[in-house]
Amino acid sequence: MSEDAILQIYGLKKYFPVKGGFFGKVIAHVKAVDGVSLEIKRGETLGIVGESGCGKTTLGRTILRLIKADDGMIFFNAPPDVQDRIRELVGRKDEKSKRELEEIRKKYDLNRKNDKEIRPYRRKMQIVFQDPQSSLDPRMTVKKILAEPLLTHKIVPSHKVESKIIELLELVGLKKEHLHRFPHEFSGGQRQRIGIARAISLNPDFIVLDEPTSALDVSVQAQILNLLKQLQRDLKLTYMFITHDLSVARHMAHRIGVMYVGKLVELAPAEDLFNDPLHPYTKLLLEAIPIPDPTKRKKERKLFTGEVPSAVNPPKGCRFHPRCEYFMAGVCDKLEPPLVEVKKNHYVACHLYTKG
Amino acid sequence: MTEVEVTGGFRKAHESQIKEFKYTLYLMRRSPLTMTGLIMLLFVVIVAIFAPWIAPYHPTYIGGQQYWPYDSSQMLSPPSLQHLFGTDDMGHDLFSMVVYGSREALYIGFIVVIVAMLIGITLGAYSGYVGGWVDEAIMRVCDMFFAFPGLVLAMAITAALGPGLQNVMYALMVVWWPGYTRIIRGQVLSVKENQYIEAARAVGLSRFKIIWKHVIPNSIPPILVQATMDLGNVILTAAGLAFLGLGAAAYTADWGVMVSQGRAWLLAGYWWWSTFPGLAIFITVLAFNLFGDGLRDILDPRLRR
Repeated sequence: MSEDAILQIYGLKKYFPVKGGFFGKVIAHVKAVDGVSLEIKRGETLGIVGESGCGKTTLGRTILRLIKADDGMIFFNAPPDVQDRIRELVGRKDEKSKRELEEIRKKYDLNRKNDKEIRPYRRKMQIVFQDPQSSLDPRMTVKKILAEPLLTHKIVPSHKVESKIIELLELVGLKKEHLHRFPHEFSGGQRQRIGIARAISLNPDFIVLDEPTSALDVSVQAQILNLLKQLQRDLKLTYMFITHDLSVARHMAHRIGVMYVGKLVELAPAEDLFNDPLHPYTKLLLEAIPIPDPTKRKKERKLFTGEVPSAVNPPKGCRFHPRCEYFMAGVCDKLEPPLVEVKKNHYVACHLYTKG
Repeated sequence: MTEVEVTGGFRKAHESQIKEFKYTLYLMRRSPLTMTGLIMLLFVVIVAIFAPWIAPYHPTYIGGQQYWPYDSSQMLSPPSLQHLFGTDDMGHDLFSMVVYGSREALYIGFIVVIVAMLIGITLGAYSGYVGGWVDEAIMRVCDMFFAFPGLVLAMAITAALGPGLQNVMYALMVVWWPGYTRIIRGQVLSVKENQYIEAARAVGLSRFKIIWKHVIPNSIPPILVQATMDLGNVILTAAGLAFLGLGAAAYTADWGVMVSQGRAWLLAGYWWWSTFPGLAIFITVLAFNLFGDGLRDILDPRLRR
């Protein structure tokens, strides 16, 4: 595939050290993101779903380099020919390819940039946070909050900052009267709009939406989701939409990735995923969506058995095998299934599909 | 242009700030003890500012040293209309000296607390935000200071530098900064977990700007309370050092020195010499403590929204 990918990620890993004992030695690691590879196409919305603690938020932060990844490559906005070259080189093991990839990484890999070098990229990739209460500085007025990114990156000359801010406010459905108010004077939905205004103030290409609606009332959720969709159309944005709410993901995303304990287990176009889920975990996840019509409910529902394993010490082989109804002894608990394309654009990491 | 319309003058642009301020005043008015502290504080400050107009006698300065006019015929006279607080054994008017002493007390208090706060805020903020070995180094130095009794350390420093007002102030700054460093560090540790810090990083702000524009302003409130209380404590400690003979010279308008000098005469029946400067210290320190205590309640985020 040679579609224009705004973001290419290969083998991204983030381990958080767990300190313990008398001298605070590192005794273990939480493998929050453990080897995730994916591409995000320009203009699409990629939904990332999973239970709490599966590493989806960490994935978003790591991509934005708010957290430094321990391993892996993040290519952002690479030219199309370089993108193709990267795809070719990634799997190869020979020295020459490795050296060429190394050259490309030096130029384009965000994971190779230090804090100073990353700053210009901040303009192009932004984030909207889950909790609008805590994501706005309580001591700053809306004007100051929104002026900060504009002045930092000199988006507009300083005498035009105010009119630019008003323009932004109107874009997200707020009024210019709100300019001099503090965050605590707004409702949750309005605060989230301010958060969105801050994210789009830098004219980014790519925004990570980290559960932007999960702290909001259901009625407000819909408004915010529609606002995000409208902004995507008008400003040609690419989204990575992190959520635990599958119906929200279906509404928003073109493609959906399912994460389980730090790994991507399935990646497919949204409708495909809902109509024909392949991974046993995805199947159970879809079963768990409540159906608002009692007459259509199935008598017997399959339910999850067991607990989500700890990311400190994930199960060997396939991480889902202790809870999986298709568990194959000797295979699932020994080998880690790779993420392979089973149908067109439908990737899954499960031994059920690798044998044949 | 629309910009003019929107800005609409100072009142409109600062509507929210004005509302906040009014709410603070409202909370303050509701607490009688805070108001008592504030009124006492204002009284002391006004006395200090208008000392030359309030006091009937004025010092002369020769070579940086303060000299008071004296009347040998009025030695150790008790409080009267002519000398409201009586006179000392050289016939200095104690009322004038106590009034002028308020200037010195407030001067010491504010300078020491402000300098200690600046040091504490800077070191504490970096310590908490940066973490790692920077944090470790700064905190261990603080621990060293905490392991030593403050007054003894201040005495040792003053004794080493030589007695005098300036040296007392240096000593107190050295003794006081670790307290602020530790409070700010603790505060920063909780503030930096807020998402707006992460948002600032996502926007691309430098670490310097994040610390000074987001972390420090949000870590300040608890330190304001501490600083207000410390104004009283510093004045008290400075008076203590002066009492021990480590502060200003004898017969200068320093409350500690005056209490110290009058002490020898106290049992002989000349009670006024020590009593009035002592009362002045008492009122000032109490004022700062009451006001600081009230400030704690007012700045309490649970009371605010």
